[in-house]
Amino acid sequence: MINEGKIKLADILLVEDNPGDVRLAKEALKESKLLNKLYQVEDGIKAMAFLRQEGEYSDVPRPDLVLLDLNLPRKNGREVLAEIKADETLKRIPVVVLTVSRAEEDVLKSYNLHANCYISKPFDMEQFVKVVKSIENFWFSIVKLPPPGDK
Amino acid sequence: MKKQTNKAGQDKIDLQALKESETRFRSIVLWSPDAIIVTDAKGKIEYMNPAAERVFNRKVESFIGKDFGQPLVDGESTEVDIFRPGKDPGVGDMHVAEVEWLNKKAHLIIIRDITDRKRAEEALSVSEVRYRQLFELAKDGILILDAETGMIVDVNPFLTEMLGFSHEQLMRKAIWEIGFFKDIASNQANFIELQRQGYVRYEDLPLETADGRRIEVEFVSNVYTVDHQKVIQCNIRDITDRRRAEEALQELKERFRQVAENAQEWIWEVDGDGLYTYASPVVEKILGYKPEEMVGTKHFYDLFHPEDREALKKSAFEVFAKKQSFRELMNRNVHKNDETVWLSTSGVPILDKKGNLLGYRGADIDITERKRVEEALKASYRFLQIAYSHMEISPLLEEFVKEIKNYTGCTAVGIRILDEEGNIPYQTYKGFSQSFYELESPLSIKSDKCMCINVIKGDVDPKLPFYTEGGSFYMNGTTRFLATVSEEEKGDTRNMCNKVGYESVALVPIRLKDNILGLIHIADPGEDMVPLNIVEVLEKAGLQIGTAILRKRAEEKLKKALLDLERSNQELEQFAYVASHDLQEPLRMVASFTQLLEKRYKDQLGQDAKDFIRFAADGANRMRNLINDLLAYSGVGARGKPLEPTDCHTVLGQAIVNLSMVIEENHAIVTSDELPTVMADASQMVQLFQNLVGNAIKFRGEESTRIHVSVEEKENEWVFSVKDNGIGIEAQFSERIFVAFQRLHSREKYPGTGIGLAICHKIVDRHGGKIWVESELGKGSTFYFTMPKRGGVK
Amino acid sequence: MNTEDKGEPFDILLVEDNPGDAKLALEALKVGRLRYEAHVVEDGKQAISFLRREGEYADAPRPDIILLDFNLPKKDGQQVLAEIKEDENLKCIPVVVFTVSKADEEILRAYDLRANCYITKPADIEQLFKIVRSIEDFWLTIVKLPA
Repeated sequence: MINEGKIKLADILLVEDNPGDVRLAKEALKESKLLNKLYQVEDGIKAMAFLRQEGEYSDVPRPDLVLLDLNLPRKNGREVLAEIKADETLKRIPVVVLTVSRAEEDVLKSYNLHANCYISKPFDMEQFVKVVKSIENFWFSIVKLPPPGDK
Repeated sequence: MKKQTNKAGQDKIDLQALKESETRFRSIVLWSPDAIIVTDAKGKIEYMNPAAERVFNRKVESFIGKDFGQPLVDGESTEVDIFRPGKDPGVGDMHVAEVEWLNKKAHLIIIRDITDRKRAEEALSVSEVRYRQLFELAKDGILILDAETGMIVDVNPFLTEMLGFSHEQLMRKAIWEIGFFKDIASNQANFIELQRQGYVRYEDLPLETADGRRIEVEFVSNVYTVDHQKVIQCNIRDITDRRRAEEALQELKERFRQVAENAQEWIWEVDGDGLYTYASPVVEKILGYKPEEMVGTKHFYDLFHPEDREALKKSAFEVFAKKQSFRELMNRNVHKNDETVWLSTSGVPILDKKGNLLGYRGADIDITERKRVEEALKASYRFLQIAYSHMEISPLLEEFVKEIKNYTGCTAVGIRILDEEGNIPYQTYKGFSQSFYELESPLSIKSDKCMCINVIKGDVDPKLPFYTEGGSFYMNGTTRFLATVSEEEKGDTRNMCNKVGYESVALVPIRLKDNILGLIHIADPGEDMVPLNIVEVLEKAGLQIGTAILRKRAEEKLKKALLDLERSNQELEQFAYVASHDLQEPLRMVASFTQLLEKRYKDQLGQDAKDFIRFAADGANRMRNLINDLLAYSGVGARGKPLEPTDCHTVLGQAIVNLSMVIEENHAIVTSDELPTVMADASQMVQLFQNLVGNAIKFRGEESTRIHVSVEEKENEWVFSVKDNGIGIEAQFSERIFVAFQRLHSREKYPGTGIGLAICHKIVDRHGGKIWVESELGKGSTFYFTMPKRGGVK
Repeated sequence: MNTEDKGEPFDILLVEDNPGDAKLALEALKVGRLRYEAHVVEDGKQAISFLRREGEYADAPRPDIILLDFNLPKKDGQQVLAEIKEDENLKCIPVVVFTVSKADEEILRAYDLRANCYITKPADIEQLFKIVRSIEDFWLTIVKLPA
């Protein structure tokens, strides 16, 4: 392993069905010093399968952070959030709700479901990229993430 | 007859003569034993004399006038068959003559009854044939000698065949002239002797045949008279084969006898009911009974130990019923002198031609000794097992007691252990009564006198019959023994065991070399329960118990010491941790606020004030670093996590992340090879790599820092290396650097408390590895450390 | 981005027993541009009373964010966290655990008790300032807080 100024740090699971947003997120993370591996799933069912390391996801790692869009096909983000935070082994994984909605009730509901924080996606692309970078910076440089435990 | 002239007188004389002649001839005819018959010329019977009646067994009257029935040729003598009613046909010798009878032609037939003579002749003839046949066809050699001359008169074919001489070669020779007979009658004198003896028998005579073969013969000779002549008949039988067979049989018998008498096994035969029909003499050695006492008297099951008899008898007859052979069945028997003898029996069935069971024959080996040795070995092994088990002392001693009881079969076993005050109480016992225990347990070597005391003190004299070389006391009949001891000799020995009724007693010391820790007390109301060989096995057990006790005691001490140490360590580390933590906080205050002070008011502070603040802040920082380092150092052991499979790529990565700033600032390049997964505490591994890589960067040289982490796989461990191109370390300091707080440079040049490598050392140590450095001043250093391969990880 | 702020300052509840640390935190906050009001309580009991508006805290505002130290006297930080996150009314308030310990068990425990995030207080004052500022930036400008 050669250090090229980037160090593998953590795994991020992006639960996002909008390919445009996925692309932006990837770009945003590319520029950071921290080499985080970004995994992506496009719906709630796959998200749970990923987190539970089931089926085609049997070899994936446990993500250190989940970026969760609420508007998802099949299983919506709220259900996913509820399931994650109800699961003994998954509940500790920080879930950053990153979604379009600005509605108060969505915000409140998310916090009540123990989302770690709620961020509404900015309309502006540049802003979006900035937001993703801030998330990364805060959660991986400032915050102490829960220790791996039993991955 | 012609008439004579002298008529009257002449007539009278003639008449007289006629009368006399008539009477004469009448008598001849009447009294002739032969049959006289007169027939006319044609064969009609005119006269028959009384003898004819007898011969033909018919009355004369019946014959007269009848035809003779047989052709009559004069002058002929023929043999005729005589048929007579009521009797067997006979044979007659018939003579016919033509005569003149009453002036007619007549046949005079005289028939002599030769039936008997014929019969006799025939019989003789038959007999002669028979005897001749016997002679000719006999399967024995027969030699007939003239008794007077010693001449060979006859030789039968069998003999000529046997001897290989021809009939001609032998006939008419004197017996001593024939070479091979020389043994019998080497000269005439011997021959005479032979003749005189009448009956001679040589059972076993070696002869040489014509072609030089040696044969053995049975020679019987008899003298008897034949036709007024004395002959010697010799019957010669070739018994070579028989001899050989006899010899072979004899050899076999001898072989068997030798084997039977000298084998270790005793060989036996029983009939279908199990009654002994043969027992080789060895049985006396093994079971004490002479063969005579067993054959016809005892059954095999009579010898079994009474406890086993019924069961063994039953299974034996089951085998009999199946006509099976059996091998090496072990069975317990009773010697004539009541001792137990273990035998290993093998046998095969004896069957008649129809396959019915006639009995069994087989052999037994005395395995009593072997069994004794086996038992002793088993017991010894068991004792060893117990001694090295993980039990605590009390259950250990209980196991020993159980095992000793099992092995010896004695009712009571106890273990006394000497304590510090000189008491020898029973630590454990089985089979002694409560009252015995209460009475006997509180003995002390200081105050009491007893065999137990002697044994524990080692006060034994091996010359006395009840002491052993190993320091034990043993007695197999206490009452018997005490009867032989005088009152004064008994002295004040308590003899408690005998009083309580134990006839067999043994006291075996429990020792480790010369150190006696206690004793094993074995007792039984029966006699002869503790023979010397058992005591000797127990002495071994005593040694093992002693070893086990001392080892357990040592273990316990060690355990306690370790526990104490552990506790003390924990307290210490706890203390260090708390202290460090609580020390951190005020330090943080000092450091932080002096910093703030400096920042906020730097424009208002004079240089001195700035300097003061700087020193203060510095001090606080250093103190903080020291405490952190101390925390880290003490934390390696105290807060170490259990070892788990750890991917070294990950931990190295984390270390690099933690050093990211300083790596960037120094433009250091860190590379690594494929790293394995090892059993380790991940966070400590991070610390380890972090310290080593951090050091490599800190102590960089002129050129840009290159650090390479690699690993070498060995059979039982991994050897990691962290190589740098920094300033290097002088060889003389290569060990000192791993000591806590040892620094080789000033603080200004290279910051740091000097605990980094000490922490590395402690971490590596905790993982069971070693750490060292190879370096040359000015040429960089390579730090090596090993990680043992543990189970579960490749 | 909280562009809909009603122009009211953010209420930050600081649960910190060490006055020095409290002071430092406040100093750090001062450097930022946001309008805020910091409230400091010294122990867990006070924290709960503040949040429940009991006793002397009857008029206490509802904090937008809580900075919670775990080393507290009386009621320890973990208990406070647990109580907050189990309370139907209080659980939606983001709690940033801001404490000295780096210990994995503490971190894990905090997340299991539903802390929104866990941050270790650095010893270095520069770092401290930086971190407090980051918290401020992230939580008060990027994150959408519950109303």
